[in-house]
Amino acid sequence: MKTSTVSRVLTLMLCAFIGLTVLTSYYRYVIAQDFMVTYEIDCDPTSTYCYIGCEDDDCTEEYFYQEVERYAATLLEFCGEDITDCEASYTCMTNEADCYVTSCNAGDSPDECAGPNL
Amino acid sequence: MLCYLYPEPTYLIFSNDLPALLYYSHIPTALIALLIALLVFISAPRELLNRLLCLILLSFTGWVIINLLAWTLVQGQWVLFLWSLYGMLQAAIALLSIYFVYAFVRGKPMPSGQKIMLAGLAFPVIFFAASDLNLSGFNISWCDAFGYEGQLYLAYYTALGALAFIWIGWLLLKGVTELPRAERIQRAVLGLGIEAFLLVFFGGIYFISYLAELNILINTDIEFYTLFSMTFFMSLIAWLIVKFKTFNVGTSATSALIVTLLILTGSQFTYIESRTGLIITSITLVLTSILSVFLYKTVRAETEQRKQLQVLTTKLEKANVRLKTLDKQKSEFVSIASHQLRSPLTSIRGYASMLSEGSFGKIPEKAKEPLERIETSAKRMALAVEDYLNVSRIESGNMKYELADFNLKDEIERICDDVRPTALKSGLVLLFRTNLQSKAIVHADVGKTVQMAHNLINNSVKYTKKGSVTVFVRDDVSKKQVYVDVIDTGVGMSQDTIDILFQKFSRAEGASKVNTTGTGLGLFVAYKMATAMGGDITAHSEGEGKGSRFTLTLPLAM
Repeated sequence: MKTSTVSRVLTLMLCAFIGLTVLTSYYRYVIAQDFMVTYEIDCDPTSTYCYIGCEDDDCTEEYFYQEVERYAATLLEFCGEDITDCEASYTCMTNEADCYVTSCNAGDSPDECAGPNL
Repeated sequence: MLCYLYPEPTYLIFSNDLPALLYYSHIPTALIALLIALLVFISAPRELLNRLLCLILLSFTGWVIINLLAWTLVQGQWVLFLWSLYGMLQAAIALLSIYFVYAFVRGKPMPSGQKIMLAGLAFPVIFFAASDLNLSGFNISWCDAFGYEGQLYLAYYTALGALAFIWIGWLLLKGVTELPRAERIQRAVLGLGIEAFLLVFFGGIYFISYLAELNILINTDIEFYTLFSMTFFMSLIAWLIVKFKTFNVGTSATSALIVTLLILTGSQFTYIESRTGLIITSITLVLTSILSVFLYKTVRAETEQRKQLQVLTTKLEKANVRLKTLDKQKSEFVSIASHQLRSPLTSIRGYASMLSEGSFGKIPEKAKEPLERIETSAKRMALAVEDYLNVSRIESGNMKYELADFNLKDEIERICDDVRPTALKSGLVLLFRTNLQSKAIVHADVGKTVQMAHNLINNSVKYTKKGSVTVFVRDDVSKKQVYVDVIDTGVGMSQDTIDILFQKFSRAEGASKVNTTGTGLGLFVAYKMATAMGGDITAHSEGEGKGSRFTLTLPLAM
């Protein structure tokens, strides 16, 4: 069985197309960092409604957090690669597009949420 | 963007924070798949089937490596980049699997139309791989992208897996009942392996992603187990390679299997924690290595012998064909030559006889002896020609038998009466005895039976210098057989001579000293005739100088 010309042309086209896609993906995610990121920030349940997270699988120790979702390139600009100890990571900047700080919904179950009235 | 909760891995993949099963499920599986891919490709790089299997395995290896890196790396952008390639690799595995099974079942490349269709199905996966439809974000707290996977995109390339599962099932089952058993087994084994792999791999990954997206499944470690489906598939492929030489993989299959065995044993080090376990695994690895060396050497020796045997068999087959052709040509030559000899011989015998009888006037006394010699020689030559013709007829399958019921005892007695004067002339006693419970009516060709019996009795007379020749006709009604024993006190034979006695042109050792006129065809012809009529001829002797016994067996008429 020898591969036909159609096969060769098709394979070449597919390889070129795949190569182009891989390069595009590389540029988008690695170079341009054109994507959204989500991360958790510390939260005080006495003043804000916070999500409850577990420190281990058995959930022997809990912690409280809010979720931040923002554009990766912007976060990189303000904080660099590592957001630990970066003040700017806690709040959205003025006029910053696509940046959301999400707190737990007050109406949610107390198993998932902790807040002033829960 | 660093996943700030996770430690940096050493050498890209090693992290103490991750479960040992991650390495056990990924590293050996990738190595085995890569090894078999290379083995299959190197064995026959121009074979489409080998190329396709190699591509499937390389795609799978790529997926496993990417998955391992996605688990260990903490740079979000890199994890996301690698994550974006899953769809393309899974689509490649699914579509190449269809093409692979098609080529395996049909034994030819897929038609261009179907190839274009497969490429068309892959197009959306490739086109949208770098788009938000595939991945739009990353969770740096969890270091994953489950929450940002496009469900439509994920469902599409999983559907390609489902399509492959159905298409392959249809290809394998179509017309399977009409196939020979070996091909059915090959199809069943391949089908079981590839279908199990597609079902577990695609199904498992889709449901794990889906459940993780819904936050129902928190621990996605279960994904590791799906990779073992490829190990199962590869085991069956290895079995096909060894059992049926599928994919034209020769001796190197053993090497591959040994390496696989060592990888599997060695990979247990990745998750062993106890000291005892470490010692046991080390001993197992050493023993496996030693046994592997023995296995490799044995298989290599056997394979070399098999190759030599194959070469010899091919040569023998060619020689056999050549010999058959030559034998046929010889038979044709003998037949033509014998027919051409028979007519002049008949004239010589006829005219010599007429001259002896005085049909052309009185013959001088001095000419009588030469005339007798002419007659005897011509008669001998006519018998030899008849033998050659019989051999020619037997070998070409043209010997005709006119079967009828007749009394064998009467015929044998008549032959004895005919031969007795010759025996007496040689100083021998020719006795005729019977021990019959039936009338000895046999169903055979009379002429040929007489010829056989005449031949046996004459032979005994020729090869007996002194003593007697006894012809004994007996029967065994329960076995429905009649036997004619020709027992002499002649030269006898060794067992070696008896073994070759009924072969063409074979004569007993020293026979030419006693009888110079034999052609070595009489017994061959008689044996062939007897067996063709449902009977047999056997020879027995206590040894040289101790006489012989020939037994002609014929079936009793029903």
